[in-house]
Amino acid sequence: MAVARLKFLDKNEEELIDRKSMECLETIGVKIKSENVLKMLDKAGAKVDYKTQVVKIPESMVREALKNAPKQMTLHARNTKNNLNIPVSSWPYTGTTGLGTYILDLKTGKKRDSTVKDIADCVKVADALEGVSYVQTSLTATEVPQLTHGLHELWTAFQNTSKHVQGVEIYDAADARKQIELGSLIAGGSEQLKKKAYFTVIHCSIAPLMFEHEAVEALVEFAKAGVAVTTMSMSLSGGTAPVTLAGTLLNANSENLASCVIGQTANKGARTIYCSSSTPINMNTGMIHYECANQPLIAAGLAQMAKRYGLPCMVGDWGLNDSEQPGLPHTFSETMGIALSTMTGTDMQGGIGTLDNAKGVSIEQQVIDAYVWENVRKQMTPFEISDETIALDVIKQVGHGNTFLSNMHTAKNFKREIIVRDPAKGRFEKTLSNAMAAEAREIALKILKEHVVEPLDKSIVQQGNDIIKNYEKQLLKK
Amino acid sequence: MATPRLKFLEKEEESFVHEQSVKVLEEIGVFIRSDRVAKMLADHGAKVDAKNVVTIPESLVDESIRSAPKEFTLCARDPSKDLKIPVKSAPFIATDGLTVYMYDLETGKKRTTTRKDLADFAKLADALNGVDFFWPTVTAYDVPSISHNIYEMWTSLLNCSKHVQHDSITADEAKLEVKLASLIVGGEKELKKRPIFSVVSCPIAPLSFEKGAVEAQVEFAKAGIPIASMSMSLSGLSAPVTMAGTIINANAENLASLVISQVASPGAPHIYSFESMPIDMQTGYMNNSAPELPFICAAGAQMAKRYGRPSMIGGWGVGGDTPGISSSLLDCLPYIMTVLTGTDLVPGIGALECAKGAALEQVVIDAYLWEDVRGFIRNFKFDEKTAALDVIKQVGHGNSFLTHPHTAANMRKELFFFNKKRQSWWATLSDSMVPEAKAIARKLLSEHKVPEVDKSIIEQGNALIKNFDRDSASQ
Repeated sequence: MAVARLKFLDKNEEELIDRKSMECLETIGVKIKSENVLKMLDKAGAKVDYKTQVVKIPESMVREALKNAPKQMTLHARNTKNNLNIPVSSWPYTGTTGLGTYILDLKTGKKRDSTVKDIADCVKVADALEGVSYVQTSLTATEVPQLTHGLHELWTAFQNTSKHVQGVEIYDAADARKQIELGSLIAGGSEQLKKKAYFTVIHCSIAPLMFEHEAVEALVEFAKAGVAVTTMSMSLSGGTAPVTLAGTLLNANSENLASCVIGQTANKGARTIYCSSSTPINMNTGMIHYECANQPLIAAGLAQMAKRYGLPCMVGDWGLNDSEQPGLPHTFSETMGIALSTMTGTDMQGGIGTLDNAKGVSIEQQVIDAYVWENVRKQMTPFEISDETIALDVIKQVGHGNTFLSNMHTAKNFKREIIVRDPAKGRFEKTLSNAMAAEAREIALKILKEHVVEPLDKSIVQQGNDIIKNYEKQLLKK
Repeated sequence: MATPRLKFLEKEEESFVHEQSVKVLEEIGVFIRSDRVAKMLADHGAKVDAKNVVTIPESLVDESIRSAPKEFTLCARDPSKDLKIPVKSAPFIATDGLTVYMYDLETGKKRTTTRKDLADFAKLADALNGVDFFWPTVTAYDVPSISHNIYEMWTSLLNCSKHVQHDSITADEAKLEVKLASLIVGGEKELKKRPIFSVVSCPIAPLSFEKGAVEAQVEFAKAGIPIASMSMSLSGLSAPVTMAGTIINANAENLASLVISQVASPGAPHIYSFESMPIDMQTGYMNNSAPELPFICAAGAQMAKRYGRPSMIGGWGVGGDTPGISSSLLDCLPYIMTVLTGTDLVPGIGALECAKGAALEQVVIDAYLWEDVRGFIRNFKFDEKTAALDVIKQVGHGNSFLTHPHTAANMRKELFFFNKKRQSWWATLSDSMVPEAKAIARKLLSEHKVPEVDKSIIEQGNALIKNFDRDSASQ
């Protein structure tokens, strides 16, 4: 099937990233701040320096891990109709966001700390929206004990959706074991959970090339329990990764490979999803810059690397709003970058409903992002290119210079072949900036007044004018 | 060099499109309404029937693909503005062509257009960094209608020092355009070396060629003027409604046009071109913002690359019925995707109302927006130096690259900065969106029912968390 995909690297460039990542893991290694995980990797053949906590991973070990990691998986949901099979062959599955700390109250429109009830509301609306394929936990439950807020969030999500749930908070190994117990309740036992991944978790490595004590031990617990681990690298060009695009890809890829090794060493065949939320930092503010033009290019490069390894991936992003008020506040070129990141071949992406660089959430933003997504994802509709669709016989029947409009082939196929957007949803995305036409008019007037086009020789102009005049005379005589 | 590109067809699908296109040319053929051109093709191995339907053997197609140049330059009056194709990163962009009205810059009212207006558009295009070559944007209504093409061509060449691309509908017109351009470069031989204009020649889909246009094409091929064979295969109207069928039709027309050029003059520069899209099934009009547009364009660009042909595919311009961006994000998205397909040339700047109208301020808007959008279509070097393993080693695990000299030294090269001043133009200011979204959210919250989790399971879960809280607190 033919499907639209943004490609970025050629084969040689993919190979370079692969080769350099192996070199990176073998010579620079990763720092893992957990004695337990260091021991585990030591036993499996990595070179461990317990004093510096740096593990150097031989290429053979990485290749072995990649061989063992599953290439396909089903992310289960309470309602089997909502199960997600990855990798995808058309558009990516899109989820809500995680861990915002405030919500814009739907009634008052004011910012306030978020609670379990808010999470339940966000998840419930996500459950109803066609554009949302799975849910993250949206918000932080700020009124429960801090040590267990992740458990409350996960449990609230399970109760309020029959779609797949992706957890974003990992506290430590003990917390992970409790999350697994809650997941087992939904799955119908821990053995069932091992067979069917009823939830996924996002685990972040700390760029560059470091793993925190609590999180990495939790990763091991999840790997053992069969929970799919989404190994997110946040390689920020110029901040936590080299400013060069190639260096950013290298760093994110190396961290994903290291995570994969940890998961596979803990439990051969553990479910791993290659993941990145990498983009440059804003060089003016030092903040993460999701709207940077480099972001979709980084996503495309990493999606290609994930495909190369055969790993399902989550490298795109679908959050359309980094401001503090709901709507589509970003400019055309910024929004375009976000849309492009979804076309890279990524299998999953989060972000629906997010505000303010993932600090806040609003339920109306959830509706906006989901509605826009329903229309945008149609750009990734797969098409059959075959003897039947190629319609050589129809072209013959219609004949040269004639119309296909009245041919049966058109009536029979147009609903399948021509994508129709929902006009009601399109309407509220109109770009209504009223500054641009007036300002553009000023600029046009200024250029017309001041710009000088390199003039042609006067005699040439005269000769040309004569040629035209004579031609006209000749035509009129005919 | 790594460059982002939108791909649609797999390798086998490309081969399939090629095979089927050859079959179209061998079995269905093309209708050529010029005895002269039909005979020329017959002399080179094509078969012509009594109705001037010309069937073209595969060998002639292959030979034409071989003889056409893979690279050439669209020259400009000012040689510093020459365009070498194929491109390595972003395509070259032109204005739109031959619209029938404009919005007056002073009064803001619609009116018909004159040679003076065309000169203004040409001048503006000459000045704007976001415009690379010029299509005569508006029709000159103050000249004899029989020779308007000639006047437009001449006015464009005089008022714009960038490459000009126009069209021509008779052989005599073509000869005259060659003469005019020769005056500027100093003779027909010089023009062959430095073609300062090129020509769009549209086959009439499905699979036919008009007499005047195809005879003009032969003249241009002989004069060394590059031809863009713009197929307007409209799914469901002038081409099958299936994407595969549309692509085949457009590809077959391009191959036929290539054969015509190469038979007329082997080695003649030729540009593979699509302006193909579905029609709007409700109105029958061309649907410029159809979601399928980028697929068709991506397939076209892939086929052009397969044949080693420079290409002109897709359109760039976000104007609606009045100056500005009145389309929704989604209506604009297909344009954006088409410029990422690897096409070398793209026209469309300044157009309004599906290329029926134009405005000078729209030229500014489209050209400025393009300068930012180009940020997405850049080359990146991938080598030991940019991979920066040594820098990662120096920075160390968990540390920051911000203060490393590598960041300061490469930042401007690797990161694209949108023009801040222009950014305020592009914001989506729809004011109905948030209130409507709120109403929908409220409705879903009050009406949607989530399938419930068994009560006993909820209790067990609650108990687990409570115990965990207690244990944690007592530690």
